[in-house]
Amino acid sequence: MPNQNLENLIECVVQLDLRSAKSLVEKLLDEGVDPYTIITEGLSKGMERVGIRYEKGEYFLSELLAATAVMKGAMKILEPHIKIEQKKKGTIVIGTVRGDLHDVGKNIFMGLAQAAGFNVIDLGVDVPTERFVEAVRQYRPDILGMSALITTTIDEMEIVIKALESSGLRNSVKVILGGAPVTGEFGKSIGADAAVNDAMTGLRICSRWIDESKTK
Amino acid sequence: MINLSSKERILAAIRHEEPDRVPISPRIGFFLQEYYGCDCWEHMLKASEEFGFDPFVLIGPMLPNYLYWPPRSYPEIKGVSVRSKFETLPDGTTIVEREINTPAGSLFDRSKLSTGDRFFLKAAGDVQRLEHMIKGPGDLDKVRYLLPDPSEKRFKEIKEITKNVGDRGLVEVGVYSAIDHKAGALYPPTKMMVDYYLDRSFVVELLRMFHDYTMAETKAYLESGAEAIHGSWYWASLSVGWSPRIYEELFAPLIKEHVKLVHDYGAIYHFYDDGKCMQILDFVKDAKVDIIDTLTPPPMGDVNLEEAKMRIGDRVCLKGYIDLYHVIRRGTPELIRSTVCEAIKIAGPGSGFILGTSDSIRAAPLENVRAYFNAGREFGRYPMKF
Repeated sequence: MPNQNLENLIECVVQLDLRSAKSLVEKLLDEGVDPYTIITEGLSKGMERVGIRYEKGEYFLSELLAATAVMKGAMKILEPHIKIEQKKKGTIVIGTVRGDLHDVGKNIFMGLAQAAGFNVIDLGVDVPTERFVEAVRQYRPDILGMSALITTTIDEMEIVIKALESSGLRNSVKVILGGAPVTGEFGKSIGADAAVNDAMTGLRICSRWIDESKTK
Repeated sequence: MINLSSKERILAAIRHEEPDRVPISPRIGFFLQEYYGCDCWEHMLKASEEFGFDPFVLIGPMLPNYLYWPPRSYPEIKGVSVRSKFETLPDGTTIVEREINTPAGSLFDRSKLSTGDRFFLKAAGDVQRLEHMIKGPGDLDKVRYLLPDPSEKRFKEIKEITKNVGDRGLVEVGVYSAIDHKAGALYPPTKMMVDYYLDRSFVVELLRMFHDYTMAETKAYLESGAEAIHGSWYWASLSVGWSPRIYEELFAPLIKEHVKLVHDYGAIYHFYDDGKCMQILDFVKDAKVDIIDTLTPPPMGDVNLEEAKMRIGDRVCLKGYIDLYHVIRRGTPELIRSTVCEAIKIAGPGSGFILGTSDSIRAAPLENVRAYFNAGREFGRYPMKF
């Protein structure tokens, strides 16, 4: 029989209600429910439903961010009860390309990816080509994400991809581009593996890549 | 039809009366920098003669926005003192730390200023906030001291420039909305989005405080003779991530108040949002803005020009539409010609359309820039023959 409080917790995440979510997490812990069950059967399912609403156009980035805040707020209560650190889903290195100081989209993606279990290494904004290459060499990530908002800075993405190729690192990492000006056609033309305009689609693609790599 | 002056042409389009041709009025400041080395209003007029377009001569904002861009020195504000530390890094960027002391307590922020040349032509020319000044509701009373009422200030250059420009263009004074480069520069918009759900009264108060300042600032420009106000709302754009629901509750009422003030002075309201606009068209129409700009098409925006014309085109003058990156920068003269032709064919009939661009023209081949202006003049003639 499903635990009603877990069902309610899912709904709290969907309704972006942090106060009730925190209270339910405490109740569930008092009932002796395993913290991992609270995360996987409560909070994560809530985030999945938020994602579905986003894809249907019922929710926007503002709601995705609020849902992530609810999840993080609830996780703070759970953290002391989690004894062994969860294995991370995969590693993503991310940054906004040289010449571009915008970080809203990047940070939204980062929050979602962390909530989904990725280890995210943020290089910040205005990241020089060499720094991207160096980070791929140093961290050996599964995925490199590059973000740009200004139409005149997306050319930098091609420069980074070429630098990865000449450093012999291109085949070791999937490359995803994010930002309003990028298109699938543009991504393909410069040798990226994917190009997206929104964080949720980006997260779905990254998760799929990790799942595929595990089945190989 | 006799040839109208640029100003007459623009005003006719705003009134939904047929001018001699569709006005051509792109944002072009960065191109002027590249082409002439200067983007002042005199060079704007020079360019309009050389390329044949109808300039919106944007001046201001005239009040220094020192909260956004940390200067070396500050105007005197009663009870307020500022201590700044500037440190230039090897890459040419500068880190600025500021401690601002007010009678209600002190504020602190930390910013990274971009270098001049590299960023300017690439248009970022921006401040990266490493630590925002407003940390939470407790800081609002302190920030109030930094926003002394500007409504009694007067700016004689508004009338002077308007007189000098004459019929050669429409002079407008730029005003950043409560969030653009103001509240959003002191407290991150992404946090505001979360706080809308977790601590709404704080976000409402934050925006109201800066909106009241913006209203007073706008009043000062209008009292100084401004004929048009360029209201910038691009930090409130749905492209930033705001949902239409939040937009309706937080921003639509502020836009309405701002427009009403401008109309009370008989001036024109030019609404600027260079992101996704389809879901705010009704709010914009309801607010009675005179012009909506930039109507950015996909992939950067979401504007379907035909639908926009149908939904609000009878009341609001549509301006913009031609994609800067994929059409003007990376396209061919043929693509530019056909895109301009299509835009005019859709939005030109019945007037109420000003050909513009999705962003300020820059880093584009000169032959493409010329192709854009030539196509506007070629296809924009009234009566239209499509």
